[in-house]
Amino acid sequence: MSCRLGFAVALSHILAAAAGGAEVDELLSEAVRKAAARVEPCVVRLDASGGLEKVDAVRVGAGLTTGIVVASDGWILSSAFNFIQQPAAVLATLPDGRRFAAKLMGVDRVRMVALLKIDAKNLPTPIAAPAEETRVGAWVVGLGRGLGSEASSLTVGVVSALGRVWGKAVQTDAKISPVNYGGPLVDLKGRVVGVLTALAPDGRSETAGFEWYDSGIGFAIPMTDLKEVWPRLKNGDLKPGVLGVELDGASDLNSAIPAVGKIRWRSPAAGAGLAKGDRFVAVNDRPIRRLADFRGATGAAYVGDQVKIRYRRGTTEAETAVALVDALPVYIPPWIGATIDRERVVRRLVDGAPALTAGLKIGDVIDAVDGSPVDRWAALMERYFDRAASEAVELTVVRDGEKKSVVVKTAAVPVELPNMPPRPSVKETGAKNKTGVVEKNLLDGVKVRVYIPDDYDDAVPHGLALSFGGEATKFGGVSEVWRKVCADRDVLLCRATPPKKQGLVGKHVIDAAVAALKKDYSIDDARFYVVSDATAYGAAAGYVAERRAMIRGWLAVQPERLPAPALEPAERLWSLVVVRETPMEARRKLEALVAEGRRVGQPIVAVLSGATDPLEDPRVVEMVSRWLEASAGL
Amino acid sequence: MNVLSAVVVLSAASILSDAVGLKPAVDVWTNSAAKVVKLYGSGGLGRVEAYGSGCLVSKDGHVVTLLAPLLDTDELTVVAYDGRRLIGKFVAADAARQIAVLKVDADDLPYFDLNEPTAPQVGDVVLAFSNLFNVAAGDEPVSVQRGVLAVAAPLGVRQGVVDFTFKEPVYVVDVAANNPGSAGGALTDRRGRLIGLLGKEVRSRQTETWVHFALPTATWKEFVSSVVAGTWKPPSSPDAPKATDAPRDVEIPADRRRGLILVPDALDKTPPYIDAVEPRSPAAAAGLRADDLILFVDDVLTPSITEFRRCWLAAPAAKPIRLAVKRGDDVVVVDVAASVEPTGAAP
Repeated sequence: MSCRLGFAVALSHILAAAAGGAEVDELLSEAVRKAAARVEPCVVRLDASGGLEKVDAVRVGAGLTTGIVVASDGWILSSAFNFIQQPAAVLATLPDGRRFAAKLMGVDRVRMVALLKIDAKNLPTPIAAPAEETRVGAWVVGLGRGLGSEASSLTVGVVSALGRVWGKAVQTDAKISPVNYGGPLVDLKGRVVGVLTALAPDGRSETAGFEWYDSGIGFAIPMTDLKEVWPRLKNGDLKPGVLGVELDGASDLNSAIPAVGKIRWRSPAAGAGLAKGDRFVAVNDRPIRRLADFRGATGAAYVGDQVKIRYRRGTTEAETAVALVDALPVYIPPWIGATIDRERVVRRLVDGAPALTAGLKIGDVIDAVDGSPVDRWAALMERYFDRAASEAVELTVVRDGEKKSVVVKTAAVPVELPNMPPRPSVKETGAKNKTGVVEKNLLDGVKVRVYIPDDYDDAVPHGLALSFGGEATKFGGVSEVWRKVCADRDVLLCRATPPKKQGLVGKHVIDAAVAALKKDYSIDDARFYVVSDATAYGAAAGYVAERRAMIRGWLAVQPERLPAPALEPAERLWSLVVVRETPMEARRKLEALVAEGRRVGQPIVAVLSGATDPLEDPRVVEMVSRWLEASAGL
Repeated sequence: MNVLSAVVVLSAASILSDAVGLKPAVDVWTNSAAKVVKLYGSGGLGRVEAYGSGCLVSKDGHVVTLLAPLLDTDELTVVAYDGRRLIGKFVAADAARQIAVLKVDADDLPYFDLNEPTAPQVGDVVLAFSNLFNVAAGDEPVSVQRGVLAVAAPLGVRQGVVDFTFKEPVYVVDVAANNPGSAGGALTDRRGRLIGLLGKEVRSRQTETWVHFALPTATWKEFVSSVVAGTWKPPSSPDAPKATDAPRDVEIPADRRRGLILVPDALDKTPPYIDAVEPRSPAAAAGLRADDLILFVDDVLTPSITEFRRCWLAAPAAKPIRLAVKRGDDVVVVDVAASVEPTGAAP
């Protein structure tokens, strides 16, 4: 380092040290006051009357808050946080003392701001700071009326970061709280950088971000963005738009953008032709390299916004445009009351069910669904389930060598299960396997015990009930009622035990057991069931949640709750819930479960039992038998 | 930069600042910190701390602090900036403002000169000195925090948290200055002048958030100066001034309703809607109607029926009460007389 440069460095330190005195602070204070004074005529005190005392367990204030005039004819922006208490009335007081009743026009649930209107003219409006002139490190002042003072209270800090919370906000270390939510963040030139609000990167609740109040982590929505947003709020609330994709194993924000793992049923993404396995390349021309980019590009968009998506499928890239929606439709599985075998032949029809009424006949072979040929059973399933209950399905059947079209109006899965006679046993010549209780030792120490009904026949694909806990399925002595159910409904009862009581039955243990059984027995992939008693709720729930795409039904005794409330066409979970008759509390819980199931489209059959072991209660076992039969069909 | 040049820079800084007559920031800070003492007394159970802060305000060792349980002891320890341990003697208190004056037996400690004029403005950079969280537990000066004077305003404080009786405007600051042990510490301007005493930990009723503030020196200076001068006399009545707030959650007696009937108070915060107006009553004469929503009583916001009752009962019974009501999208202001002059006209 040259001598001269060394001196320059030393001098700058001297100046900095000397200037660190009171005078610099006084200059700053003066600049802060001047900046605040420029915006002060546009800062409005808002008083809310009535409303909730607590929201999301957060005690909200008495209803005194801040707004900023954005248009001279009475348009005022504030923070959404200020209106979560749903006040009965809002009163605006202008800096000149005039008071107006304010009408809440709309709340932006993405940027968490609110628009209000008062019947006033010629109001002063602030100047917005151009986005490119807001720099990290610049001094800023926050103004608020939350303390009810004559003039705004001030807080001073610097711009900590730009483009925070998925590109939505300017971050500041000034003390931001309900005292100034809704007020302006102002630069030293007296221009409005943004509107202060409570915001959190992962929060969707109404009070998200409040927990950071006065912490030195505060947010303002840039005025330049709000200029485009607030006129839209005149027409009502703005909500986050839903695209309807789930990314594979998406958790690490810095990971490379994962492939699309699931396209939600009838979502905008599905409508735009996106498919499992696609990879996003750009959203609205913003390149997507990491998961964080994707969240940023889609997280600030509203319901109704058009989003341009560029994606890669295999080696080719394509582009599509999607309009985001408010919420995805609830998928309520369709039901027609017909059992169709692997050869696509109609085997059984439920009395009075839609299929029979529409004229479907036993022996018909399904050739096409809605005009699309289905040469495989899996294709039939996929086509059939791609509709919600009450929508019609057109089945093209081959009957006596002729093609016929049968249109069936589907229904919701019945709450009362039809009573169907046992399946006729097939007296064919399939190679007989060993029956009764069979025990198998798998390679890694897993033990599998399986009950095989006496009339087992390899020619008939059997259902497989995976037992968790379950005294009912006492191996070594499967009770008479259960033996009958297994024989009547062609079901194998299986229980896997981990090596040396290693703990819970993990999903890998079950998977290994299933794989081993499939080698030796004829098993129907579409008829996997989980059976759990009250003690095994946790393990069973975990397994059902993990493997719900392959499980047809869950028999749960006293479940705390049911997993995977919202179903997708590929998930055909149909639960049978058994609850003890007493106490009343348990019954009420059951009613709540069934109601919740109805709301989200998950079929739940409810059975009450007074027995000490409900799984051995003949009434319950009878319902289990019906359920196993009904769920074997469509 | 090596050690040698660092030394050169520092000494050069002090030479330069001396030459131009500037007070380096660091001097103001250390000088002020030396005027703040740490208090150790009774308490220490639950959320009642046994430590606190105080400000030296006379050459004779007078210390100003806030009334707190920790003073309730015969052996109050006062620790000066240099680690000296002194015995604090209780001298006097202003119960209304919760200000206490103690005295230690020392005449060589630096102190804040209460006669130095101060005129703090909103936006000024301010410094808070206190023994917050008893961080300065050893022979060491108190901690200092820097912030901005946010506003001077009366504080609406949630009842039941602390006994907050201060009626004058306080200095709200934008730094977390009110913490356990902070009460009684100093808020100074950038030149080291005492502008207020740090308050207790309270939650604002307006915002339901913790609020940080100081009691302005101007509000208690007279009292403390008279104590220091030895001219202060305890109030003749031994009773402390009583809070004048009307009781909450009390029905308004029929003879004070002035003809106003509100909707039933059914919710947490039932908005004060008028249910009915008695004919030929002051309320009727003022033009009030059913379904009007009362927003203000004598310019105080009443967001709920509870608040309304409080303000209504606190208003002088013989004088008109001014109401601002929301009627449709309009705000209407009316005066409700204490009684109607007989008009003689029957409906």
